[in-house]
Amino acid sequence: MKLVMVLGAALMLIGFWGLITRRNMIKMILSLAIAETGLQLIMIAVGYINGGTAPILDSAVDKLSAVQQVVDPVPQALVLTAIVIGVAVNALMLTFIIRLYQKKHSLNISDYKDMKW
Amino acid sequence: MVNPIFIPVAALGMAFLLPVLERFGRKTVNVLFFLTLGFFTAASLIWLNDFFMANSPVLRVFTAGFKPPLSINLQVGSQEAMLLAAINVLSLAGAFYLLPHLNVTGLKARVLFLLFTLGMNGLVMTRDIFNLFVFLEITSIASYALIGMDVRLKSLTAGFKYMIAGSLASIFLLFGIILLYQASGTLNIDGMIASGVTLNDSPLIQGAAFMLFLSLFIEMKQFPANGWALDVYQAAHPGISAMISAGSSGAIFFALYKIFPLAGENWYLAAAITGSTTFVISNLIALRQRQVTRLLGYSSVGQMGLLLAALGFGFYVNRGRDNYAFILAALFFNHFFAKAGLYWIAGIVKKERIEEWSALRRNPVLLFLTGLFILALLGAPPFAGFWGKWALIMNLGREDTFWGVALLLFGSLLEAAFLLRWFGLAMRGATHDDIQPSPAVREIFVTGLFALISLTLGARFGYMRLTADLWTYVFPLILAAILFLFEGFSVYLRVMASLVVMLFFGFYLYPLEQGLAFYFSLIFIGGGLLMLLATLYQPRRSAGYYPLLVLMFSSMAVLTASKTQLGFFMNWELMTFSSYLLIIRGKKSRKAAWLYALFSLGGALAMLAGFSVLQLIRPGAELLADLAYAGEYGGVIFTLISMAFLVKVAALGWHIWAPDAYAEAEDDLTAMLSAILSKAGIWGLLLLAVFMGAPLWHSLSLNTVLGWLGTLTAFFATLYAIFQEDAKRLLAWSSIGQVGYIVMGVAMMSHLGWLAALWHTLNHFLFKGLLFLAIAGVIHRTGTRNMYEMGGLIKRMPFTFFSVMIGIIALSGVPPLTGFGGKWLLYEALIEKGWYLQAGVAFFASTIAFLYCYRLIHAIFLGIPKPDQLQVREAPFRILFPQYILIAFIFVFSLKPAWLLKPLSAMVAPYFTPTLGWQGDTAVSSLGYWNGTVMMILVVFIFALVLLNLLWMSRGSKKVKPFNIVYAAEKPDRPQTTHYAWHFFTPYQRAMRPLLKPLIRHFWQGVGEWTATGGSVLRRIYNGNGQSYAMLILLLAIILFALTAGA
Amino acid sequence: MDGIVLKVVYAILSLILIFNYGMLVIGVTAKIVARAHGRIGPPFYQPYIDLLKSISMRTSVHHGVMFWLGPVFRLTGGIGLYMLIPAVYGSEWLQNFSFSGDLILVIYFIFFGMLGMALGAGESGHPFSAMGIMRGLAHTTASEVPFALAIIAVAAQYHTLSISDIVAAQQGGIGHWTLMTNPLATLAGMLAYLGMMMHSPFDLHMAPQEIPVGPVTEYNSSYLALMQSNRSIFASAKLILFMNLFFGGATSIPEMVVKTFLIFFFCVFVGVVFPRFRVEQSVRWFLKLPTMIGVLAVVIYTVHG
Repeated sequence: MKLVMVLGAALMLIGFWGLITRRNMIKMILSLAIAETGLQLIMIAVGYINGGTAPILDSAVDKLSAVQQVVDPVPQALVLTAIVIGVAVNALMLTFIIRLYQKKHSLNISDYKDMKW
Repeated sequence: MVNPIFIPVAALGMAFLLPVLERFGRKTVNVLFFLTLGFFTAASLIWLNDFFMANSPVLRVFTAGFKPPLSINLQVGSQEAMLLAAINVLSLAGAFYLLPHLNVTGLKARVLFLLFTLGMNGLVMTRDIFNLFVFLEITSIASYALIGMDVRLKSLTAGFKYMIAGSLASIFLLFGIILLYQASGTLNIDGMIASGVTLNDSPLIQGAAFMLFLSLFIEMKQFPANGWALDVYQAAHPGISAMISAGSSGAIFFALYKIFPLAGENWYLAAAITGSTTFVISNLIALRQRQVTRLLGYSSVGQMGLLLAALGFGFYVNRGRDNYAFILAALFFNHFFAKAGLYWIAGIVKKERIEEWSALRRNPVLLFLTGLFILALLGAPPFAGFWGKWALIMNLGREDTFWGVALLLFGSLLEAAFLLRWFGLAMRGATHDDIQPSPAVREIFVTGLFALISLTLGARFGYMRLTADLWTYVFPLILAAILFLFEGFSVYLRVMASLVVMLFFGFYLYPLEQGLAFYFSLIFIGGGLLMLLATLYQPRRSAGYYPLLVLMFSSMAVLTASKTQLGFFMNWELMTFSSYLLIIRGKKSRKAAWLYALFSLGGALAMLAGFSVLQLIRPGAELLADLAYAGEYGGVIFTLISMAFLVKVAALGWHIWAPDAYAEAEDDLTAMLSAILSKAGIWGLLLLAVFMGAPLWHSLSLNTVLGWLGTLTAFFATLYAIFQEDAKRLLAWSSIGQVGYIVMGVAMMSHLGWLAALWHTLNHFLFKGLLFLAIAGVIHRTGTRNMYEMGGLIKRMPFTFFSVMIGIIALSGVPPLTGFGGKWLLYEALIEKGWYLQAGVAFFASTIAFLYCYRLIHAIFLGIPKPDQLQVREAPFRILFPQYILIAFIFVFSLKPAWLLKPLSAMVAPYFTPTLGWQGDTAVSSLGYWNGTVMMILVVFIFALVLLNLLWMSRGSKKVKPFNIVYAAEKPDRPQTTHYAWHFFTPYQRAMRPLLKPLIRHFWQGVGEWTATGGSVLRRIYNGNGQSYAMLILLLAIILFALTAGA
Repeated sequence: MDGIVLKVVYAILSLILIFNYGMLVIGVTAKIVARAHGRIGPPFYQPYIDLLKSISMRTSVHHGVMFWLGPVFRLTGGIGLYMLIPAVYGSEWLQNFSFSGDLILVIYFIFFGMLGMALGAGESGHPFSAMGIMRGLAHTTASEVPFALAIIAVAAQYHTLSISDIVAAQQGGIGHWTLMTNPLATLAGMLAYLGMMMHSPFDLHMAPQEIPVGPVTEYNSSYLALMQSNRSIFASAKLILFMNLFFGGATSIPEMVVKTFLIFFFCVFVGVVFPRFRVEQSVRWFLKLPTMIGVLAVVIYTVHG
């Protein structure tokens, strides 16, 4: 699980790097999405118990010792929610980009500096 | 009791239902929309009532019937109820305000608005940290969409930048949450706090806390990671900005407040540092800002910083946390309602640049509301911000956190600088075009409602703070409110009403005061009455004039009756703000009033700092009398508090505001400022001396410093006075100088010295009131203030001439009039004290005073008349009458100085052993003696004899016009050109040149320019690029890491 | 009541004395100056002739009430000033009304006549009047500075501001005079005195009195007579003041006459030797050397406590 965590962290860093180096707004959003994915990986890794099973109470799990056996269900629920929210935000951002492109025909973030100081 | 769960249920249900119901038409949709919001508001108001009136237990709701950690729980207690009430009222009012905008943007806007409201409600209610994240996202997404809804380039750009920042913040937040969950095994905030999870030192957990708070700090728009927020505030529809600035920021702040116990010691400090830095820097940068919505943005960001700082300090210093709940609530709600109101007004006025806001002048209601909200933001009494700031600064003092005091006060001053400049432009800027704001009733209604709430809240908070003598302290406000009812009636009625309430107030105060306090309140109230009478000479008066006048005079009178520091400070501020609002009524007084307000506020803030230092030595000290226990900190406290008073008396170095303000204020107001208002500073200095004596700064006695300050003020102000061409400006400098003598007297800390000060206080009131009123009459008739544009008016205005003549004789201290009494006491005291050099300088100054006295009377009344002024009439009786009352007083005290001097001597006796004795009517000091009565009789007698003699000798004398006899056979063609008045003292100016460099003015100009330059350098970081803003967010992360990892 | 009547009678006698003394001093001085210039000069009783001439002028004009009152103020100022100064130490009838105030009152009363005069002359409307007054006032402010410092030093020295007490403290021979006990103050005071007498080199102006431009040109006949009377009284009063402050006062009329004449002669002498200053020159001159000396005199007492 360490590996997944490291992987997740690496993805996040890649995402941040992309966010502050790519000038293309779509690439910036993709970078954010990459960072989010990395975070989601970490989240799942956090709840995982080595050798555990899915958090469903059925015959495979002894009800009394379930807590030791199953993977923590909460992070998984959280990840689901986080994914949904992330998708929503990304979609909204893309809409904004489309609108912005219609206005100024540019995807370069540096072209949108009308307001400053 | 309403179950809190219905809030999300109703919001979500309606959000889904509205698209379905769209077919029934816009009206149905709107009705349902408002019903939902109305339900929220009603529910939260019911909760508010239950918790505050009925003391209900805290409401807790658990989803699915489980207890945490298995379920999510919502909680509504008293704090939540307050927040919810505010937020839902804001939503309802905001939606009402935004109605046309929402109608244009369509149904989805209303759905988003509902979700936005739901998000804010959820943020406040939830006790589950992941749920908090979800509500935060709901709020954010709804607001992104609301911002971009109007599809303008600006709002889209701003929205996009906001989204990048928001996404980063949510990544950090989620990261923090999951790590904390892993460590504590719960998502419930109370559970986390109870488990003490963050007390663990492990890097993982500290990292989790770091992520969590970093995210919320970004959402709180902390410097430097706040460029996106500024763009949003600037670009969004002002109605939306109001919702974000007040509503969602507020909800996020409450969320932070909820989870802040999770933070460790170093985070408290980090919050305090970041918050106060943000407060200072935002306000600093805003100095150069001309765009109204962005200006408000800077102010909003700054206020968020202030709140975060207060929160940080509250936890950092550990003691008295209950008190901090009060502070946070006061600061929060103050900002909440005022900022929303200001954004709404910005939306009504629709002028982008502050210079264009002069259009507001045509709309008194809007102007009034703008002023009200700005005063609220500045923390003027009675608004909640005032009480909050007072309590915060006192707490900081008690806990020895003076860097916090310094930062917060400096930030406040900067905030005042740009907000008041904006207000000044609205009030007195040049009008550019004729497009006037045309507010809808709906818009005025919600804005007015918020103004009312602001005031009510302020009163409520004030009621909690002012524990003793409540009625005395708030009396001025009540009187002003009463007079407000008389607006719109004739001037006579308004003056009459003012006189009645002031008299009533006088009777109320009468039994409360004796000694010095009585003397000063007599001057404040009695003088006020007389001056109110004089205002009658103008047939028309703008709205608000009399309420403000009464507020000014009565708050000054309360200063003399104040026992507590808070009561004193409150009325000091009331006096400052009311006089500012009065000064700015002058036609060209925009800059002058601005300077006055800045210097006064700077002084008041220094006073606040002084009181907070006292808290360190005497925690919980509330009385002014506690100043006596200042001990080793005496020097610091004395210096700080005296700043406020030195500004008011316009002592050298703090006098920059005075000449302009006196000159540009309305003519009768100037009389009040000079004759009465400046004495408030004297009263303050006396009060300090009574309680603190003459403290030492290291080995230097502060009263020596004060004495020299007074001396130099007297000297330089007098010197400047003689070169003025403008009569009022001349008298203004003269006032500064004369009050300098009073300061000298106070500083001497001796019986005679104080007698001199007290005598001169009254006397200066008499003759300066007389002179300013007389000049007001002249200006009224001639329409100019420039002395060289007048001449020979003695023939047209003999009564005014007599006033001025008596005035200058009394001023210059020539016996036998009262002025001499002041001089005599002063020099006796100075020589007795051993201040020989000061006496020499004072004497020099008083001889120089002859120059401007003569110039004043000669240029206006003597010499050759101007042809267009040959038909000028005598000043109106209504302004002459008060002058002759003053003259009567001057003569009475000239003839019988003992009538004044003996009671004064008794007043000073409790503080110093009397060194002034009496032999009949002769006052005997340790050095000399003076019999004013004999002197008066002697002079009158000789004068009469000489007069009779001349009458007899000049029987056949013939009256001629000027130039009927000519010198050197020359009779000028246009005699008026020979009136010698302009640049009267040129040779003197040449002689004195080395002393006339305006060094102090240059110094303050430099301070102003450097501060503004600092702001414009700093604001370069907001380069408009969304990517740079993302980098700045990472920079904030690094800064916070450095701040928190150290410990 | 008898006391008051007696005092008034004494005061009137004292006034007559000083008036005539002043007239003669002016006359004699004019003679001496003329001799120094190598002229014969007017007779010593010339001031009386001038006065009579002014009074008996047939034409008399004035410009208005204030113009009319100017000389009244002026003469009241002169007489009042004299009345406040004890002329001869120990003499009952030359104490005048000095019980009504101390040195501070005296200094400030000097301005009474000047101010009234300036107001009166101002109403004449002639620009030269205003100009003369401007010069006079400007000059006065500067020359008063060393004078004030000298007085402060004297007050610090004797711990009193009462003129009688200051004179009393100087009794017992020349060694007790302020001249000897406080030379710095005396020096500052006497330099200031040059300016206050408004003789050359400081006759650049003089509001009320003597130059061809200024009030004197506007005043005529009986108005001028009043001013001429004042000149003698006012000048004598000032001489007596300086005598009292620095030169031990006088215990008899002859002593007073000798001392005041010598003091007056000092300024006449300087006036004959030096040419006239411009306004700014005079102001700066007084603010430099004499003021420095005065400051020094005062600082000595500040340091010694």
